[in-house]
Amino acid sequence: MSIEVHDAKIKNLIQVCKETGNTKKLAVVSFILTSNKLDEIGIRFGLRHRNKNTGEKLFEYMEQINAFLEYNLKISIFKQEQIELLRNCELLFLKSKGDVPYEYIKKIFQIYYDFRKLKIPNLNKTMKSDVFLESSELGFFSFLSPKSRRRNKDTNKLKPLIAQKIKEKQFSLQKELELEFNSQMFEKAIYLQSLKKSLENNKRNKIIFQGTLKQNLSYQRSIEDIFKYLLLGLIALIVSLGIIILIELMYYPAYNGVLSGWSLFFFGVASIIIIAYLRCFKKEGR
Amino acid sequence: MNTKIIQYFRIIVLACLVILFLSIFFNWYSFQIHSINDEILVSWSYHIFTEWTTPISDESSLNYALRPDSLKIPLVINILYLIMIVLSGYVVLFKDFEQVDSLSSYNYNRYILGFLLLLNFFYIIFFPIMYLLPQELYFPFLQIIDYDAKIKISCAIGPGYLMQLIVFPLICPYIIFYYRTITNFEHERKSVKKNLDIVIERVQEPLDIDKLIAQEELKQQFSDTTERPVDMINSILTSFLEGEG
Repeated sequence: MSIEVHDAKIKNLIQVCKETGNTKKLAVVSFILTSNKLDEIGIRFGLRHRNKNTGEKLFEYMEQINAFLEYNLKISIFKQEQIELLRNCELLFLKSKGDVPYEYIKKIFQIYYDFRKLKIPNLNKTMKSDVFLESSELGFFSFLSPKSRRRNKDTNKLKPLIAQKIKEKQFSLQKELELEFNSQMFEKAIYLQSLKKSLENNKRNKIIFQGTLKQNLSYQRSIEDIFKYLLLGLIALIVSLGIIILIELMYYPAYNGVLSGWSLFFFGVASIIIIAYLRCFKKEGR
Repeated sequence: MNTKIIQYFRIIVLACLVILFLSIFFNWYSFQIHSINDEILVSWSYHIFTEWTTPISDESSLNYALRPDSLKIPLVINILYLIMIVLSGYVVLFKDFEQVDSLSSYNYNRYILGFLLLLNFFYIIFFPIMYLLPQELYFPFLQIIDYDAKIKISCAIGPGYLMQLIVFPLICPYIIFYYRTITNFEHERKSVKKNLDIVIERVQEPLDIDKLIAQEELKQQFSDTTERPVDMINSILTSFLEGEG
């Protein structure tokens, strides 16, 4: 069901209930809608759903979500006034068993529509660093990507500086998010958190992509590496043959003349290929 | 163009796997003694499965007296090598990582290919070091002409071993690339969003707004009747408050 149809139905129900004077039905519907939306928000943030069996109230669940986000990202998604408002309405609703004045129902619907405005990003989607970094001033962190991290062996020396920059950016995002929730900013906050964690854990991350592998830019760039592996294979083979000859030389020193010629040949060819490899690929790496 | 390179290497690897398979049936090493008149006196060829074989049938001749000792390469390794060649052929032919929807499902395939590369390398390195040299079988080849005895002794690696040498640098790039791609890349999990939607749907309380509207409209139509119909709202409220969903 599309959101427009859903809204039209709610409008229709409000109209009809107003005419029949059945505010109780409207109150129940408004609370069910709010409860469902809140469950959705909680689950999308990776939390458990509201525990209805133990009588967990909506405003308590909101506080739980806020506490979770504050602990992990130093961000609170629900404003304190919003929680207070829902608390007043919910307690009255429970006390009067659904018989609440129309003004309260209006407030609940208002809260429900406020919840709907929150666009929760897909936390299971790993943000594409290229897209994110291009659209922000965070290009500084681009060398944290696995490929460039490999190239930059001096990254360790810069770690405290990067961590500081991430912290600063996180702080400014938290401030912005406190003023107004924005899903894009929220995604950035999550991305920064993951960067911070990867910096702390120093683990190799996989490059996660959508669609086909062939369309991925990182993959396309990595294709050229196949020639590098070709040369590496050749070097490994020739050096191995040289080692075999050296071992043979130890077994049969009498054949020194012939075997040393062979070993010179193999190690000579290997050296030429190693030089070619270094010239072709190491220069590129720099 | 770039992506075509991978396909070219894939074809090369397939051809190499055929060569590797055939190499098992070729001789890996040969030891011969000829007379000055080029008459074969001793001729032994080594095959990894059948060990030393000779085309000379006379068992009382010098040929049998000079039979090299068995190299004792474990049969298990040879069988494993054969299995790996066949499995790798299957992987390269049917498990193209560029076409797959989930790279993580190809984890085992990279190990198969990686193991084949290791076995290939094992034969290249250890066949001469561990099996040939201790038996005084020279590497890569040797020819001695003894003018006093009027004989020509020659030992050389055979086409089977040469095939191993040729194949190694050719399969190396594709296998390493295959391994690295599966290690470094991962498809975004699609099912997570679907699973989330299922969980949300299961948790949320069902709400049939159409039904509620219809009830209210009915109530409106029969508002003049004294007896009110059973109020559904009470049951919904009770279930909501009791958390029965």
